[in-house]
Amino acid sequence: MKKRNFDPEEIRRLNDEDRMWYVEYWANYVRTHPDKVWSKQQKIIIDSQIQNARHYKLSPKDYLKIKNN
Amino acid sequence: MGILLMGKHHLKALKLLKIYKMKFTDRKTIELDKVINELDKFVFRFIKILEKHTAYVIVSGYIAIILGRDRGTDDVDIIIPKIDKANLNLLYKDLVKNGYWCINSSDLDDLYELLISKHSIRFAIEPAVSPNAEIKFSKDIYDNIALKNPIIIKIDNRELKTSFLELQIAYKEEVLKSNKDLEDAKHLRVIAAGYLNENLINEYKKRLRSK
Repeated sequence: MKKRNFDPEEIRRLNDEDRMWYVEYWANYVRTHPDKVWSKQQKIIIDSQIQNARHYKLSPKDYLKIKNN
Repeated sequence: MGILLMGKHHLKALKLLKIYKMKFTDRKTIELDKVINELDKFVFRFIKILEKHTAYVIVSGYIAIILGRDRGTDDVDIIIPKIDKANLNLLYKDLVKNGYWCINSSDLDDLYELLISKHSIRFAIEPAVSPNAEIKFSKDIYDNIALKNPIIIKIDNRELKTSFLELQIAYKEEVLKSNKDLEDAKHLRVIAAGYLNENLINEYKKRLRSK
């Protein structure tokens, strides 16, 4: 089997391009749809992230360390 | 006759078709008709207390989020003007009375020292650490401009203040430059296309470069 050469820089660049493409796609979706439509989807993402954060009971000290604060 | 044949779902669909979209009313106001999420609730609840004590503007990630970006954040960046220790004490006491704690310290002298030395202090709903409101004193001319000329984001009967989107885009593209910031800037550019003043973005960038 032929061994593939993965250039980490190239993978990162392609990943960044993909992400930016999606950001633009989503922003256009927001621009062209009623607020109630896109924000219902946004609510699912944000509320679940907040729920997840509640499970990780970080102390203020540990949290600030992560944040370099 | 047609309307008589419509069921409940058809009417619901029609109601949905009545488009309430983000509106850039003028240079000072953005109106939204969005479904409020937990982060929005946290911010509006915090702002209600904060604005009793000081002027403020919310900047950076949360502004991209309230304007539709589909990502979360655990901190909401808020700039306030320099206030004296007595006023900070009043704000602190009001926040504590309403269930918040400062996760940096509970000592007022420590908190004031952090703010004066250009650091931030974070308030969350006790006992959580996130989401939190990350407060900083105004540090330069750009923060002062933002505080003096805020933009109002309106959702139903709620309001919050932010700085010019042009300044936020310039700052993200010229100073911060992380992937997350560049993506936020891209999002703002697309949703506010036709509203943004590109010359103003370039002017801010030029000034930020020479800072």
